[in-house]
Amino acid sequence: MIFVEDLALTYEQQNNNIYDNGVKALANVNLKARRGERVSIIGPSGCGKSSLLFILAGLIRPSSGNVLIDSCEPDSRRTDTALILQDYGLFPWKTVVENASLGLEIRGLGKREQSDIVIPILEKLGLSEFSTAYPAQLSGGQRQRVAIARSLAFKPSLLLMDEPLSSLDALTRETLQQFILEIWREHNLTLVLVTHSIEEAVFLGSTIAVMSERPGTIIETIVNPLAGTPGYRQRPEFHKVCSRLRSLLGVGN
Amino acid sequence: MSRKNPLLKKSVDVFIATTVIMAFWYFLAIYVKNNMLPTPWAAMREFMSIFRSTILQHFYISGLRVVVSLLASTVIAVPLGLFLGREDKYDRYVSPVIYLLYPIPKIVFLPIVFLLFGLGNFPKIFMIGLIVFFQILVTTRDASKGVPVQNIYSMLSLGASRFQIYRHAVWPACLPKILTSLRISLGTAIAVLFFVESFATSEGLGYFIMDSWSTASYSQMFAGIMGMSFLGLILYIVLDIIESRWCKWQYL
Repeated sequence: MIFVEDLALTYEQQNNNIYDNGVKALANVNLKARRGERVSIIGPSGCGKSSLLFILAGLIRPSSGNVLIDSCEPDSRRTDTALILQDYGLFPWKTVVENASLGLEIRGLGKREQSDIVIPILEKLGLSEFSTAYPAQLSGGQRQRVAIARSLAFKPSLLLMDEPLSSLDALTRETLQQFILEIWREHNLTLVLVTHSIEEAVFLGSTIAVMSERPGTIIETIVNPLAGTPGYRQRPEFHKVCSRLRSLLGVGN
Repeated sequence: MSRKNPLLKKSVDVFIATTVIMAFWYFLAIYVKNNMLPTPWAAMREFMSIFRSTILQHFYISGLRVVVSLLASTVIAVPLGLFLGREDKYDRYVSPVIYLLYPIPKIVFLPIVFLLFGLGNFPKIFMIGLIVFFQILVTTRDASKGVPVQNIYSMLSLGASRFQIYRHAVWPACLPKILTSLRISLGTAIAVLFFVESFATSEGLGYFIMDSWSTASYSQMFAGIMGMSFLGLILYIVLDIIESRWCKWQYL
């Protein structure tokens, strides 16, 4: 499903001088994921993990290396891939329904077809009573569910999430992590989740890719088969993987 | 009911503001005691008595000039500003031109404009439009520049075309600031209107005020000033209505 080989990304500097060849954001990134897998990407801030996600979404082009998604180069116009951003994903001037149908509107679907698709999804996500509300009238958790509704409208096979839950309180976070698992199961998704939370990476990722400081590269891939199973947070294996991550990321002892 | 209530509240606000201004004017007139500054009652009486015969016609022509010039410069400045704010390539070349032209008091070109376009309505509309054009353009461009890049990424990841990005992400984000620039421009437009109407014309509130001044009919002059104030008020109300319709999300 996802195949990344020797990927490198260098941001060109605006004021180019001869001593500076731009900022190396990513170097030597290798990553593979099968269909239906859940990959957590974790790393120190500024390590380029969001850039990696944006490359997978086809929003930025890598400087070198190969990236294939279902044996094709990533393209932002593909409807198979959906991207959820931390903030700003929703537009404050659009109501919940309008936000959730935006992708379909862009594809030129009629209003009737849009609501035929979106309304059942909103209902499923417990948002139907808020359909005419604006994002400012929703809680953080509800807003994130609207963003999820928007990406599900396409019936994507690959869902990319860039720190989707980082602005939420701990309680809402855990509820939504459970919720993401349900969505993943129901829609047969392949999930790539960028996070800076160790617990989140371990709870959700059946594979955890740990990245180094800039230029970011994947220093370790941890297989985490118990991820997402009920009560995983209470099990010793969970804490073992968490402390493994802590030492890899150089925090704690 | 919810639609009528804010309107009622607004009318009350306007009424209170009018009363305060009238009171201030009244006491000033009593203090000055000069027929150059009539009392508000005298001016109002004058306003009512000549409203249908003269003021209305001047009001109409002035309103037309302001509205057409504001509309025309908005139609040109807003799309251009949205575009320049997003496309650095072009902004790099256009910005210096704007910054060179913007500070020039364009009113000094009035003789040339009269020379080129004659003495009809067009040169007056052109002059007002030229001045407010830059105010709207600069505000719109800066607003468009300030649209967060995440908004654009979000649109791109949904497969949006360039036009769709402008339509769904850039334009709605800039609209409140565009309306603010229109409010500022409206004040400027009426000030410029007065100036351009004081030359070579016999129509418009500006002409009417200058004409009354020269014949020393001061209560008539103040009736004209009230006419200008009403013109501004009506247009501000129109802008407020547009904002409450199109930018509902701003007032939650």
